[in-house]
Amino acid sequence: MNLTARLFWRDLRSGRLLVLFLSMVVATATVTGISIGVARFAAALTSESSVLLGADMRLRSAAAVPEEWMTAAAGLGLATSRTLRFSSMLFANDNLALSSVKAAGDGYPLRGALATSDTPFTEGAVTDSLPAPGETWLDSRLFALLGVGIGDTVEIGDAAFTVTKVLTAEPDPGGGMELLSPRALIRIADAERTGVLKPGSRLRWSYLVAGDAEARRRWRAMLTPQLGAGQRLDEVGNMQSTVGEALARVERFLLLAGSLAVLLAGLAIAVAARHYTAAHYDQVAILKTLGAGIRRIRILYLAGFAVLVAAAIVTGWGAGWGVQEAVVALFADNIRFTLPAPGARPFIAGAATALLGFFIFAWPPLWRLERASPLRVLRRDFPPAGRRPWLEPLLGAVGAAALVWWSAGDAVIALSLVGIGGGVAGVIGGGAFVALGFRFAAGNGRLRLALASLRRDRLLNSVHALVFGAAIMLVLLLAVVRNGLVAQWQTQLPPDSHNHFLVNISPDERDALTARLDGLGLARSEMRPVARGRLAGHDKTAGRRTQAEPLPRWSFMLSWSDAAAPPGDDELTAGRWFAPGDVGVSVDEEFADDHDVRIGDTLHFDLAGAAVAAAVQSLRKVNWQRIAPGFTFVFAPDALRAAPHVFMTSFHLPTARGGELVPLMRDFPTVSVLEVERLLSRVRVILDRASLAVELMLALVAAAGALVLVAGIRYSMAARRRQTALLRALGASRRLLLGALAVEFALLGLLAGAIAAIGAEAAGAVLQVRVFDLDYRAYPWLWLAGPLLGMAVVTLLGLAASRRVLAVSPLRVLL
Amino acid sequence: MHTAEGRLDILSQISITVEAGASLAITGVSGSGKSTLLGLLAGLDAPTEGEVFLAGRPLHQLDEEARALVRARYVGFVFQTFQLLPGLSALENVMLPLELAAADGEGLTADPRKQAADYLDKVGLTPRLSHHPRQLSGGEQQRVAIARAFASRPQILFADEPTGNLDRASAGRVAELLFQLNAGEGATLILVTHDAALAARCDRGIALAGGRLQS
Repeated sequence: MNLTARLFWRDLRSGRLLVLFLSMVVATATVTGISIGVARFAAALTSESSVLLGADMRLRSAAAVPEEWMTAAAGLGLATSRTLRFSSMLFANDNLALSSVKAAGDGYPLRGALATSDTPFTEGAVTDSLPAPGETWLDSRLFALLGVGIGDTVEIGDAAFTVTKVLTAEPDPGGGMELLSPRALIRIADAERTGVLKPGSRLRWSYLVAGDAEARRRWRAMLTPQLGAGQRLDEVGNMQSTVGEALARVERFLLLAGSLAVLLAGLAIAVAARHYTAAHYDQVAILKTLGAGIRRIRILYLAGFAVLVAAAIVTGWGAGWGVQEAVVALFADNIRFTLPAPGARPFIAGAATALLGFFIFAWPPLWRLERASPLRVLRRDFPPAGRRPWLEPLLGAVGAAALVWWSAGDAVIALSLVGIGGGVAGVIGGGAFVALGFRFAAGNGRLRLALASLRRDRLLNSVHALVFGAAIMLVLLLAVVRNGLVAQWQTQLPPDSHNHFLVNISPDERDALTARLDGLGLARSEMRPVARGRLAGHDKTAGRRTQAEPLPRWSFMLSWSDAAAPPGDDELTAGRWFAPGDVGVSVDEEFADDHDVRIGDTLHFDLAGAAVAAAVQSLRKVNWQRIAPGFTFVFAPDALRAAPHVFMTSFHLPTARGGELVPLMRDFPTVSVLEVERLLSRVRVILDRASLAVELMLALVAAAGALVLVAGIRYSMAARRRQTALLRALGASRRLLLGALAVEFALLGLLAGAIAAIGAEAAGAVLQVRVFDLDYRAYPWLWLAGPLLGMAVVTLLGLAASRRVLAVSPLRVLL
Repeated sequence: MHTAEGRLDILSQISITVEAGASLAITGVSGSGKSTLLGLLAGLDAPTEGEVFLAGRPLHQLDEEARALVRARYVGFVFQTFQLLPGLSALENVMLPLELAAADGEGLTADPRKQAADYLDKVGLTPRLSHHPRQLSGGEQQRVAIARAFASRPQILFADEPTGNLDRASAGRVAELLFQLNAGEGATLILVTHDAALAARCDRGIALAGGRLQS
């Protein structure tokens, strides 16, 4: 074995390189794993949204569009299909039921899949076929309403169809009122036979395309100027869903957690490298005395570190792959993950992070090592060369920003994290330095020894408090964000979330149905009136020339309220709520932002030919992720009461009581029931898994934090070694010394934890509100958990390290 | 040297010449500048003013890299605190200067292991080749350091209080070895010591006080 290998092997065996190695593994694993994981999450997110459309892009229209439009799409290499949806009464066995019929063309669906079964109200299996000509697949509810079974015949309009399957799931379930009617699926070629394709029929065409993004962009560019009234293009990316939002937040959380883990790993690398350097000054001095020059010393150490970094990178790649596989496996049952194209990028990114981490955090202290003066062989206290105390923290801060930028791909997050971190570090370090300067009257021997030790090396102990505080703060910070996310998900879907909607309730059924629901003892939302109308015009207040988006051409569900406050969860954000005699309208603030609608503007609506104008009187924040009726436009009662309308409501029906719906549906045959329990369960499972994924990342970051603590403790023990040996030589008992060290570490941990709690609370508030769009929540437990966690962890790790130090003979340390 | 408080003279007005093969003892009380002078003579540091020639090389004009090369070629060291690398065995510690020289293309021997073992044999430590410093007594550690100092066949040997950390018996044996090997190898010996008996064995001696030559 040559000299380099021998010295390196010796360092490996002493355990001095372990923390450095593990820190680089964490950095590589985090970036590699998150790079792959985020790509897969993004693909899953897109696929979730695609499933909602049944395609990558959808053109909705009230009338058939020119055939050339679809020919053009096909000409661009896009896959195409189409559906036609209409409402129709279904007849069978003298029973009738209102259904939303979907007539599907070849190739449907382009994204997602249909699922069918042979028995109503059971789980279905995915199928890639469609009903054969003359056949129909029905929603389970239609089997109950019509009293039919597989093989029976049902009439849709003028045509008869054989029921061959139960339709259990479909992509592109439609929206609004249509979503709420039970579905019947037929072939598009059979639609003509039903006789519904007559002028005046209310038809909804969907033209679906899927394929290359550039081809879609060109198709959209071609179509947009030609779109007429009632035509709208939907595309993946502007679709919002609870699941999509949750996954997007998981992705953001992964990036943040990754950045924090990389920062912590960097901190651990810096501390471990400093420890390594401090322990090697004498060795370098001896080697120099024996004739080794700076170049030789550099090669000697770099060669060893090259092996270490390479091993850490390879291990990190494996660990990163494993971690992302574990996260993805959590969701595998519920979300279809597409593997990103196999590429080297995540692995290069992981390796580059380890190398950057090494050169930014480890190289400056190692650089000082090669400059150690050979005079240390004559005087051990000879100071290391090239000390510029401000240079390394500055380099570290710039490097940390670069590293976070590199790992999170977001300069703002990087600069704010490092900026806030730097500020907090200054406060923590300064606070620790001041706190350690206080003189206490301590009678107890252990406490006196501990305080004396803390005060004697005040600067070094402040640096340790800073390192411990930063590690604890970053772990607490992630815990705060994790709690905010999980709490938000739980609020979004509490166990008693409404899982049924009742729609199409005529005004004369309203009271009877309300009484019936109340009689069943069901928790329900209030009955909300609904009228359908199109936005026909927008008069802006004088003096505004800003060009906003054109008016949306689709129809809205309009509602009104005579309550004294905004209905449901709606929150008034501007203007004032309606008073008796008002005829204004209240608008969703997001819509208002997008379309430059302001208080005082006048909006014109077209309600099936009748014109209604209303002044914008207030803006509301509408929680669209809550499962309950919500409306973009809510009118003052006098503005809309005369319009033709129906009512809708939602309620929670425990799964075991599902049978109680059948008599309700029979007694109110024109009322449609939409059951969203299955959708809710799926969302709930995904949110549960999202919470688990977030917790897994939290555990990873906590592990990185523990690495920092271990590195810091090891470093700090090196300083305490000689002092402890001296006290033992002077007759101090092992018990007294252990007690004093316990008190010393507990005080250091308490100080670090307390200041970490302040930092976590402040940084957590910024992250919750700015990065995760969550409402600010205070975490009083931080003020207890921070100091206690700091005290417990630092004391335990410190004592574990102290035992080894106390086991060494004082002679070996002092002589 | 210059400090925040102004100019500080550690050593001044010292002019000495040591002939090849001769031995010189440097004595003086603590803080008199003995170790500083040794560091300058051996090229461990460079003077802020003045000239130092070692084996004809102007150390005061050389940078650290070049001074390291001079040390590798011409110099051997023995220290009061032994300065062995704790993770290496006795044999590996003695091999160290030979390997460093070999890596720089300055190797004097084709087999550093054999040469190191030979020198350990000369200091009576053949049974302890694979022992690490912590497994050796102070006297034994200093004998390993002496073997290491001579293994690279230096022209000049610097010794800083070589017996300062040893009991009387060990100190006697170490001193005997030092002078015996030095005589055998024909090296120049420059010795810093408090021990008058040890100083007396050298060809000549100088005493320092307050950074100046006293005698």
